Formats: sequence, C-alpha cells, structure tokens
Amino acid sequence: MNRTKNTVSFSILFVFVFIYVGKNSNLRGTRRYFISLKIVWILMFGWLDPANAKDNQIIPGAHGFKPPISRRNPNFNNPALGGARQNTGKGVSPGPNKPPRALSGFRTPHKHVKNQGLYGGATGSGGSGSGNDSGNPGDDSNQNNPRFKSSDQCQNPDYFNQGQKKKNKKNSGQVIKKRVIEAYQDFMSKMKKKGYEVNISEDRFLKLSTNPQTGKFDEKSIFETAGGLELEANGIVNNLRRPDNPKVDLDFVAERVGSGETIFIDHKGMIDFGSLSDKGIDISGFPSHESVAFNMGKDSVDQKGKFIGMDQGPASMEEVVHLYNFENLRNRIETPLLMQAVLNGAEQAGYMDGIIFLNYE
Amino acid sequence: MENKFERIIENLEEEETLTLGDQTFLNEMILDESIQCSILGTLTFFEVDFKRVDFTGSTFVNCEFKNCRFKDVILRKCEFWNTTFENCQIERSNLTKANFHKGTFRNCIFIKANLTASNFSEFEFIKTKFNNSDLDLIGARSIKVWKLNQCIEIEESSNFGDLLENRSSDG
Repeated sequence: MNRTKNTVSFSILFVFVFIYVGKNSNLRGTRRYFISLKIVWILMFGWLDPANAKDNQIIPGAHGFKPPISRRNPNFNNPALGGARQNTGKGVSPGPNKPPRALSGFRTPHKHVKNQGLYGGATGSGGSGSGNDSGNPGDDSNQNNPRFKSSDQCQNPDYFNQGQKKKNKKNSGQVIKKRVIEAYQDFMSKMKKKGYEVNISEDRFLKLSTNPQTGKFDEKSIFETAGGLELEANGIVNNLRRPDNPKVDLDFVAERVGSGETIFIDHKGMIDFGSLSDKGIDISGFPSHESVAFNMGKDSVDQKGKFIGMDQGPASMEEVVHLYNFENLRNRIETPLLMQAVLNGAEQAGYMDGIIFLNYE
Repeated sequence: MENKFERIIENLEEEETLTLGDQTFLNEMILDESIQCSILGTLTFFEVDFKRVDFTGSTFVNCEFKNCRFKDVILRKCEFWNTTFENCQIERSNLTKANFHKGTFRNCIFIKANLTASNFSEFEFIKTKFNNSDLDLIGARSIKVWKLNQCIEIEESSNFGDLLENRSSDG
C-alpha cells in the first residue's frame, strides 16, 4: 500500500517538476529529465531520517540498514575513532546498490581502543567471548550454556566510551607500594598502642605482603602479613616468612619461640556480616557468625593434613597452626562465643591442637 | 548493555572494600577488576561474564550464578555460603583454597581450573564436569555427586578430586 502511494506521489511530483524545469530553465532532453528526477528524489526522500528510511521499500539497497548507524557517532569529531563518515547530517539517502553501510567506519575503530578486544569478542558472533586465549569472537565452548548475546551488543553506541571509562576509573584495584607502606605504618602504630616492642622493617613488611603466587602486593596478603607479624610481636613466633615451596599452600612458616621448632601458619580472618546490615541488606537468611566459626574450626583439621610430606612442607599436623583473627569483628561481645565455636568445630573434626586466636580482646 | 556491577566497583573509594547485597545483575561483562576481600550477600548474577576479575579472599553468601562465565578469574581463598552455580563455565580460574559450604554446582563445566586445596562441605555437584582441571588435595564433607540420576554420597574425603575426575569422565 505504501509502495503504491509513494510511486503515485513520485510520478505526480515528477511530472510537475519536469514541466516547471522546462518552463523556467534552459535544460532540455535527458539533462532536463535527470535534473527533474533528482529534484523529485530530494523532495520526496531527502528529508527522511535514514533510521526511518530502512522501512521505505522504495529506496534500493536499504536492506540491512540498521537503526544504530543513523545515530550520530559520539566520536564524530575524532577521525581516529571513525566518526564523521555518515551521511545522516546531509539528509541524503545512499544511492542505488550502495546500501548505507557505515559499518566499516563504525567497527574498525574498536581495534584501536584499549580493552575493547573482549567486547568485540563477546559479541562478534554470538559467543560471549571468553572461550580462547586471544579473546576472539564466537568461541563459546560450553555447549551446555544456553545463552548467546545478541549481535546488537556489538553496536552499542557506548562502546567507544567503555575503554575510556577503564582508564579513568577511580578504583584501579591495584595495590601499590604506597598502600602497603601505609598498612605498615598502621601496623606499627597498632603494635605500639598494644605495647609491643617490635623491630619489623618496612622492607620486610613489603616482602611479606607480596602474594607469592602473583609476585604482587594485594589486600589479602597485607591482611595476612599484619596478622602473622602480630604473632611475632606477641612473642609467639619469630622469623616469619612465606614458605619456600609454593606448593605448600600455607600462608607462613616460622619458628616457635622457645622450642625453636618450625611451624606453618594459616591465617583465617573472621567474617562480620554486620557491614552488610549497616547498608540495609537483609542478613536474616545468612548463617550465624557462630555457624561460620564452627565450620572454620571443623575445616581446619582437614586443612592441617593437606600439605604433609611435601618437600619443605610440614611433617605432621602438629606443625600446622591455624590463626583465627577477630580483627574485623565489631561486636566484641560475640568473640568468646565464636572462639568456643571454632574449638567445638575442631573438636568435632577430631583435632583441637594448633589453634591460635588473635585480636579477641 | 549496562554494566551495573562494574560501575559499582569503579565508584568505590580508594582502598574501600566492596560490600554489596540484595541485587541482581543481568547480562553484564565484568573485566579486569580487583575486588579482594569483598563481602557479597544475596546477589544474583544472570548471564554475567567475569574475565580477569580478582575476588581473592572474598565472601559470597546466598548468591546465585546462572549462565555465567568465569575466565581467568581468581576465587582463591574465597568463602562461599549457600551459593549456587547453574549452567556456568569456569575456565582457567583459580579456586585454590576456596571453601564452599551448602551450595550447588549444577550443569557446570570447569576447564583448566585450579581447585587445589579447596574444601567442600554439605555441597552438591549435579551434572558437573571437570576438564583438564587441577583437583588435588580437595577436602570434602557431606557431599552429593549426581550424574545421570545416580547419586554418590560422600561423608568425608581428603582426595575428593579423584572422585570428581572419575565421575566427570565416565560418561
């Protein structure tokens, strides 16, 4: 119906323009015909937004014309990002047999933007982009996984901005040396407040705060280090260090003060769900702290036995100590209850030795 | 696609620990983030891709992961309480010394994942496969492993990985 209507309108307008051009110009013959045709074309379709034009069945080559390319590229003024290649501003539909594919100018720039590789991979051919080493598209290797991302995501107009966001994000997640030094200063100040005489150098703190698996500083390693060194400050152990054999996946090795025997230490931080309820999050369905502590105690027994017999590892369960740190627990009234729960768990699992509590006062 | 979770992470203050709960994340992609020692409660992740995300030492309580993909994700020393994984793919990820309590892996596949010295208690594995994964020193207590409507119950095991490997490869 629309096609007929458009064809009739086009013909009437063409006749009118053809006569008008004949009367008011010197154009004759083929030249007059083509100029008239062009004017009519412009009058009829020139005002159309290309996004609407895809539905206009008269325009040749409009198949596959997707709305997103009618939007102004947010990086229009940045040739490097491939913006200013679209005709939309001119109000001109593409000519016959030349579908208005601005895609080449739209896709290529993705490659130049850092961190875009995965996005491209994620959406390129329906996979979610994490199936091979290079992050190439379409490598969904989990056959059980029913999901596919729609190809529309590939044309998300925010694509170009995603890389920028990455660069500008406030929380980089990387723990830098400065942060570890601050943690060291906090630790030293805390030890001083507790009345401990400590002689722990910044370099040593830095070394212990390096994750042995990654060779980098991280929050978890800092927390472990502070706990481990507090044992040293407490006069329980000395010469605290990371195990020489990385397969012995226990946090520290040290010598027990007095006996001088080597012990391996695994540091456990007690969780406090109060930080969630502070934010209005319903924690009624959560396990109680007591239940968490009980399970931690219970699990410790199996964990003590895991690395026995390994090269440079513990020779027996007696050499493995679990350090339960209550530093993060805000309700101190809970502490005795939780300490007892840890012991109960360990008892139920059949081994109660090798448990040390920290920050329980 | 709105990356709500990523936005939350990026809006954290320096050194602020992520504490998050009661939210749903749908069809998102989380890349190159480090959110160690986070506390995440009652979160649902549906069709979320995690790539190169470091969750080391984090705690997940009552969380659900459905149709999610983890690639090069660090879940080392994480604690999972009542957390379920369904139709998830966990590839080249580090789950060493992670503890799982009262949860499920259903229709999941582990590819080149490292679960060394992880621990499972009161946990169920349903139609879950392990391909080329490191399953040494896995501790288990009160576990159910389902495959083709058959269930094996394990009261206690310190080499649970052997069983997982066998159950994963025998059909």
